[in-house]
Amino acid sequence: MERDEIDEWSRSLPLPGRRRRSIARELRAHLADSRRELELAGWHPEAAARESLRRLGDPAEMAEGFVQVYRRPRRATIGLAFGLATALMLGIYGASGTFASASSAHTHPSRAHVTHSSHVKQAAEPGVKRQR
Amino acid sequence: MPTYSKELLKGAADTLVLSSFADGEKYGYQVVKELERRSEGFFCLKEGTLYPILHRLEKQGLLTGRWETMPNGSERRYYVLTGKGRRALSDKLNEWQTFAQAVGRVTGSLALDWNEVR
Repeated sequence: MERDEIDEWSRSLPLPGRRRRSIARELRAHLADSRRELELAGWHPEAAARESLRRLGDPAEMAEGFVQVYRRPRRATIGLAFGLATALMLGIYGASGTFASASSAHTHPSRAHVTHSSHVKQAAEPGVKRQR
Repeated sequence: MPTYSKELLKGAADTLVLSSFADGEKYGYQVVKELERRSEGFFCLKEGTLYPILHRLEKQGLLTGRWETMPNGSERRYYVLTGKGRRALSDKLNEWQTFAQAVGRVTGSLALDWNEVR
C-alpha cells in the first residue's frame, strides 16, 4: 500500500467522508513518522517508505478494525428497524381508521339524516319551546 | 520474533494501550514504539492495528484526541486518558494482575515440567 493508496484505501471504507478523511490523515502522519525514523537510522528513502507501509500491516484487517468501531451495533439496528416498522404500521392503522370513519359518514348518510331529523322532530313537537 | 496467540493479545490489548498513556498524552506512533520498548520487543504489533483500538477507546470515552501541527508542518493526533479512562485503567490493571497471578499459580510449575519433556 503506497502512500497515495492510503487515500484509495480510505475511500473504500464504508464510513462517512469526514471520518474516512480523518483516519487517512492520521495514518499518513504515522507513515511520515515511521519513514523519518527509518531514514535517520540509515534507510534509503524509497526502502524506508516501503518498510513503513509494510509495518502498517494488512489494509483489509485495518479496514475491518475501523468498520467494527464505527458500525452501528446490531441490536440498535434491529431496534431502529422494529421502531420504524411499528410507527409505520400505527400510521397506516391510524390513517385507515380516519379514512374508515370518514367514508362511513359518506356511505351512511342516513345516520346523519336520523340525527338531523330528530332535531327537526323535537323542534316541531308542540309544547316544546325553541330556545335561541 | 516472539510468538503468542492473537486471542491472548486481544484480551490484553486495551490494558496495554491504556497503560502507555499512564504518563501523559501520546500519538499513535509513539504508543507503538513505547509498547515495543517496554515489552523489550515482545509486542511488535502490525502498527495499523493500533489505530482502530485508539478510536474505539476514544469512542468509549476512555481517551480523547486532538490534532497538533508541528513546527516543521507535520501533523500528529495526540490522545490522552480521560477521567473515565484513568478509572478504567486502574480497574484493568487490578483485573489483569489478579488474573495473571492466578494463571501463574496454576501453570507455573507445570510449564517447567513440560519444558523438560520437550
